[in-house]
Amino acid sequence: MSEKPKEPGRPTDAELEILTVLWSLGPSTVRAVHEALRRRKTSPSTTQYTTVLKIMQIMAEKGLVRRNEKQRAHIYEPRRSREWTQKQLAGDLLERAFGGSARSLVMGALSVRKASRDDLAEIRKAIDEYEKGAK
Amino acid sequence: MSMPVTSSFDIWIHSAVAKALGLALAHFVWEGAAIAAILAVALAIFRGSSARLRYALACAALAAMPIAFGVTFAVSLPPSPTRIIIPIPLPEPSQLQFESALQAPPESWKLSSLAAWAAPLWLAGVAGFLLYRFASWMAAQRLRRRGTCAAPKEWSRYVASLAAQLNISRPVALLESYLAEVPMVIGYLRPVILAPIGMLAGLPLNQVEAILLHELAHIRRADYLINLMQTMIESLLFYHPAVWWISNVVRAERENCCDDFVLARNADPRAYATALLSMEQNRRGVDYAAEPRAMALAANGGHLLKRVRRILGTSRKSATPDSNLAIGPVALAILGAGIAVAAWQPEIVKKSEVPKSEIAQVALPPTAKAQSEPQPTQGTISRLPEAARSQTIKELQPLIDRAHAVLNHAVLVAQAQPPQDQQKKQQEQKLRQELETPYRKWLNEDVAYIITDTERKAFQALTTDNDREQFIEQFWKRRDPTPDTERNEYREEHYRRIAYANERFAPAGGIPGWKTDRGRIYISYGPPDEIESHPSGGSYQRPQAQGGGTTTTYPFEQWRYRYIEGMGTNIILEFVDSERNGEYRMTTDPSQKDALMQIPQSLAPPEQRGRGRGARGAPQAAAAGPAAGQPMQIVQGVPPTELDRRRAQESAQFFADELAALRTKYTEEHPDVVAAKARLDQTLRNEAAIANTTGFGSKHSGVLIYPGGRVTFVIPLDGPGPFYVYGQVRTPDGTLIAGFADNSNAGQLNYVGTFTLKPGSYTLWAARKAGTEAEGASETVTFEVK
Repeated sequence: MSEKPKEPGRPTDAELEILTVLWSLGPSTVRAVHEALRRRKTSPSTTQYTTVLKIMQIMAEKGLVRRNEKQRAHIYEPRRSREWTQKQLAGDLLERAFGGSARSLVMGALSVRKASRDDLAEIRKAIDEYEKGAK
Repeated sequence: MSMPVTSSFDIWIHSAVAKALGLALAHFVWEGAAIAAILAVALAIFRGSSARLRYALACAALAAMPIAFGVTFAVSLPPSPTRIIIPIPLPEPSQLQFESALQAPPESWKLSSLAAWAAPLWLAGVAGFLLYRFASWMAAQRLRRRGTCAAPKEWSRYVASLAAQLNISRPVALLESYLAEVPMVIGYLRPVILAPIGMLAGLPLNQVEAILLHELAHIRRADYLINLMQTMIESLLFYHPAVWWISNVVRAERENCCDDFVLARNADPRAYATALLSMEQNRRGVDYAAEPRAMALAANGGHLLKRVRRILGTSRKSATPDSNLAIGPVALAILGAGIAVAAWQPEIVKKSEVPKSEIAQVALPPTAKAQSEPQPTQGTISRLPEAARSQTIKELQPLIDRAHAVLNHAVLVAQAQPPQDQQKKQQEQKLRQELETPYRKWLNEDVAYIITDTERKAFQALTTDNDREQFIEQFWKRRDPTPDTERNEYREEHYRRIAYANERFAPAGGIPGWKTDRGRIYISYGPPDEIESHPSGGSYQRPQAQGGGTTTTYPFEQWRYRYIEGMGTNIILEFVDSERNGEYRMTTDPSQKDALMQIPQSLAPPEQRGRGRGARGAPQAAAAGPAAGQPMQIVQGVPPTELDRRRAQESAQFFADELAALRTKYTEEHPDVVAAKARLDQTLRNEAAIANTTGFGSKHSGVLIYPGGRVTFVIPLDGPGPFYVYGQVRTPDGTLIAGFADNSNAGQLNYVGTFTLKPGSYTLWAARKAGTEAEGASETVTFEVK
């Protein structure tokens, strides 16, 4: 492992998938990641153990993940938080220019606009009151 | 007007089409206002109506906009022959005048020649909006792929089964996404639900389900497609504030429709509201929404708050007056503006730019967005049973409580919610008081062990003593082996058993005999075929299977039944008096009586048990065994039903073996078990995933919580069966509270069991396995007892 890997670039989609697993499982072996990917029906490219291994080795070189070699089975962990990576991804132009607008085209349980802090407090109050009323 | 005709643009803007366009644009100023006014009035009239109706009204109004515009445009077009002339450059002003004199009234021609300048500006605007929308659409399409990852299999399956239940024929994919900060649906033909990372694992199960249900409702209603058309209309008539206002009404009502949809299927408004709140709070730093967007023209402030109030049915007090007050003046303002504009129409056509701004000033202040009226809670509640009722069976159907109907339906995890409106609360109180009568005793003592859950609910729903008397009569009649005779042998035998239990099993100075474990079994199953009693405990030869050897025991009794219906043959039940006070407690673990071996169960961490069991068969494994086969503890004294009746000695060993098998499998597959195990036991849901079991497939387990801490759970049994069902209830810190293991009957649809739990939060991990299946299925439900 090189001493101080420079800032990792933007992860590719396949790398992102592996990062997904690492973020949700925590530090894991390649085997565990492969297992998790296999269970989530993913693209065929990631289903081979060797493929996963290779990608994760590349990711380690790129500095996207850190490899702990103390144990026999190497344990990988993401070098950056998912918030950080998200910002990286969000940095891209199309996303920046149209991300907000794209969100008005999609449907979801929550609206495009964030609720204000006051609103959040009000909502919490409403739920509390409801709970009290229900008791 | 003499024009130096220099370019084809000049020619075009003076063409008949451009003029017609200009006219249509100008006319639409008042048309749009009128439509909006009509909608505002209609919404005021249908204030209390369902969101669906209001949504339909708003959609109709929105659709009327382009239609009005198009019709006006078509009418304003000169008759067809002139259209042939349009592309032909005719620079001669005189000729133009000649033509127009033929086809259009002269004044209109003059006026519209001015209005024609509006057309190119409008066209440019439309082009700009459409381009922007197209780019947005591209960005939305990218969200499907970028930074996404397929959701865990159990969730995908769950979504697929739910989609099937909702009659959604298109395949729905569930992805976890980094870029999505809130759950969303993208696409119409191949819809995708994007869940922000952490949502599926982070929120309680029932909350995730509520959110997913909301998204599926969007898919089912084809909202994505409708919204695309809606944005087209917005782009087309972007200059009119009324269009944006209506569009926002449509959006708001659409969410209300989906909220109603969720509540109709998932009975717990609180969980849903909480889910929305936590999703909103979890929005991460990337702040797209803060930037003002053309899209969000009308202020969206308080939108979620209104929805939450509506969901909880609490909006009546605070939210309503504002919106009421707002709708009136707004409607008047629009109406007034519309009439004024209509009256001064010629003026407008002369100076087409001016009225637009006038209208814009009159137009709705952001707060005036006609937020849907809070729907009376009843609406939501009463819809529920109707949907579920059809599923319910038996002759007692009309009496069955709603909550119970949902339970049989077993679609979703549902927390029984205490009554929401005042009326129901009063009713309940009244009921409670009324039950402080002999009938309460009858229900909770006399027939506590033999009454079915359905019957219990039905009985509790009765309001008059007369009805109760009749019910009781019917209750015994149904059980009478010889209904023709006067005597009811069943009832006689039942009361004899109670008397016997009270006489023989009452511990010194403690609870009545019928409440003890022995009493319960005796009353439920009658006298055992054989009793082996060791009233003084003492030395006991441990069977080989339990490690052999001699040990010291507490006083204990073994009852043997040759056959118990629903449980099997040769059932041996063991009761141990570990406190030596005469109260023998049933145990499903042979080592319970072993005084030397007792260790507090909760102290043994699950992974240790797992490892011990991993080496199944070794004596030491058996010695480490008690924890897995922890007998069910009834924490409070409310009579248990169904489940307790069935819990049996065989179950414990099986339960332990099953868990051990799962753990062994897990341990073999994952050599790096140490790191993963901590997590494994933190969230049992992960255990299910890692141990390679699957979810319950098409249906879901459910938990219903009743007042007094009674918790009923359902495990769907889809398949031929019979199934082994087993599970545990734990507190958040992992302490084992209760366990159960049982066999289902062949053909049984649901396995229903009951616990009584102290207030607190719990996790129920339940699993089922058919004899033929290589791997079982399991699921985890987290719930709270109040």
